[in-house]
Amino acid sequence: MNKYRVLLPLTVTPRDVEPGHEGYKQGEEFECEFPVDEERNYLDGGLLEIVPREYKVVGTSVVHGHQPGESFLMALPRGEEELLLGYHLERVDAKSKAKPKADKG
Amino acid sequence: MAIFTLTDCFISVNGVTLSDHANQVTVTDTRDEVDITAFGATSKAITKGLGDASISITFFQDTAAGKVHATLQPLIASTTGVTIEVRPTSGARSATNAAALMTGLLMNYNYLDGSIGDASQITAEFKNSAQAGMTYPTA
Repeated sequence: MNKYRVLLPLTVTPRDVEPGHEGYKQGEEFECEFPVDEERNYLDGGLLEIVPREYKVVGTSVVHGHQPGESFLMALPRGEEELLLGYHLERVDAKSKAKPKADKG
Repeated sequence: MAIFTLTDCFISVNGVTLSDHANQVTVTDTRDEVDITAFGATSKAITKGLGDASISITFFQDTAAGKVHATLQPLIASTTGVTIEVRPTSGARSATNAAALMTGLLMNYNYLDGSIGDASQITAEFKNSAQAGMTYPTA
């Protein structure tokens, strides 16, 4: 799932939006799981942009100019991200969410 | 940049730098030749048709995590075009170090290709998959 920002003066209403929601207007951000081709169409058409997220290079090769172990912000389309996650990159936010909460007391 | 020898090419596949695993690259940028010779002509006339582009790279195969196989194997099964970039040197893009940049699909991937005693080399051929074709950005 990526986070998107509406670029054009249009209202975007994703399929999985809550009933009654008026959709997202220019400048607003929302999370959605678009199919790869649909996302590509929105990006190429200038309707949406991906809000950059943080990635960490987990492989042994330089990825998008970043050395192994480094973290960086990037707006990766889903199709390209899927081909890099695992061997080359991991989402930093996904990793931090997966950490178990520390016991209190 | 004057005449130069290829010693330090930069090669990036879907953002992954694989320069240190390659030793040959071919960038091809073509236009179809369309015959427009009409009746009455005494010589053939041609014009340019659709463009096409490809980048072919010879790699030393490496099955370690995050290396050649880990980068290319997902691409041969994918229908998503990825960015392929090569530059004459590993320096940043510039007027004298223009990149050849293309969104492409991996159409051929020979995981193993060699004989006993050979270095394990493979050739990956990427074909253009976007309307932009081959571009040569300098920045």
